[in-house]
Amino acid sequence: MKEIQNINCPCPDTKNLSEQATTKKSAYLFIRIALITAGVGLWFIIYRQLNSFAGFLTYGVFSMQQGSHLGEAVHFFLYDTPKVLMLLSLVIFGVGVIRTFFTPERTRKILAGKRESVGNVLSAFLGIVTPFCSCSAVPLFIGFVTAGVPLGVTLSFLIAAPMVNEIALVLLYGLLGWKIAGLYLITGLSVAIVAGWVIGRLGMEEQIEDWVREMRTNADDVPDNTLTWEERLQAGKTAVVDIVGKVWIYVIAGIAVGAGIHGYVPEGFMASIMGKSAWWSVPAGVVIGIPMYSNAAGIVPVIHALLGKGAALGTVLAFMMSVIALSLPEMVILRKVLKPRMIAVFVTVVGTGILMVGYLFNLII
Amino acid sequence: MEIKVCGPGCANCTKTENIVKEALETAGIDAQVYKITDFAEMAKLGVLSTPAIVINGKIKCVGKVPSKNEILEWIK
Repeated sequence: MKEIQNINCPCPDTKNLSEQATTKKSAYLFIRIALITAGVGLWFIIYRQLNSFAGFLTYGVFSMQQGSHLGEAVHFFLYDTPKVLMLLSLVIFGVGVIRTFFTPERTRKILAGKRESVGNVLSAFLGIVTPFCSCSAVPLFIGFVTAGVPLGVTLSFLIAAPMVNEIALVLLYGLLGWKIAGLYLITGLSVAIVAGWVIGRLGMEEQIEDWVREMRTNADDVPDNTLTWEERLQAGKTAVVDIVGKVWIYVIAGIAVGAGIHGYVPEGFMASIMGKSAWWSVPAGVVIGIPMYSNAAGIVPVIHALLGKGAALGTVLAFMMSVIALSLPEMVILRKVLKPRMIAVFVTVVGTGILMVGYLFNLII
Repeated sequence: MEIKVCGPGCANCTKTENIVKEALETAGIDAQVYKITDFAEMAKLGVLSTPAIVINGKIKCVGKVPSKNEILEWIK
């Protein structure tokens, strides 16, 4: 099988974890906590200086003219790049630590035997915090379904996991503010919950490939290892190195494109194509987004710039959700366990949900 | 000894396989290493997240790339 390119793959690379964690002294932990506190403090101090520093570099050191296209673009780039990367590092560290408390096995235990509606809600939330990479979508699906997790509940998990993405959340917060980030979080969860519930109502269990339904798995013998706090912090650090190490180039490329649009594309340019009045742009965005398998890191900065030029929020958000939540490679993987009709229903239901989100935002904002 | 490395072939799974081989070399143990890429087989083994290592039918780790030292512990 071809290597799956998954930038957001949170499979923790814990290779250097226990090699360093052999000294399990509490004093060591205290030093580490002190270091982290100091680090976070320093983080805030630097973070607050970024804007003036970018201004100083652009207009002082490079002596560009304030208000000029080039100056605007350079300032945007110099401010946003470190800002986004810093936010990303902080949040990924936090998420990395939180994820050590959840494993797919534990999540399955929680979800098994849950009633549908409650299960859908719980499943979507767990989809965010459970470490999961799309490479293990299929074993996870099989594991869930064969252990008695209802199909719709399983799908809520599989929709929420890629849809509500911490990298997208950070970038939206950093570039567009907490309101839009919050809207993305809430609507992303809602689509996952409702779509999973709807598919559950449709009673499509017979659309799961036969060999899966005949299978009974027993995974209770999976070691339920408890980690020390030191290992959890180390996992957070590893997540930062791993994920930021992978996505920084996309972030910078995205911001550079965004900066170009920001400085050179005339105001209101996107209004006719992606504005509110263009009703067809929402479904067009969703359809275009399906075959695209980009990561949130590269797409959000571009979205940010488009919004500034008159693109409607709903249209842009629908496009982004479609890109990250509905991807062709994932469909191909899921095809191994789901019959084609089920895949079609899955895409239709999730796509419709995203479409509704798009129209809703265009309507209310 | 029979070691099964489960993973569809993403970067971390390949890394895991390499570490297992390294560990075997270090320990000087001759074991059969199988790469499991078939999802049905993974599920039968009880593996929910990859990469995972199954030694003599027992799941040793799931959803992470283990360190060489950990593997050395398991194959002792």
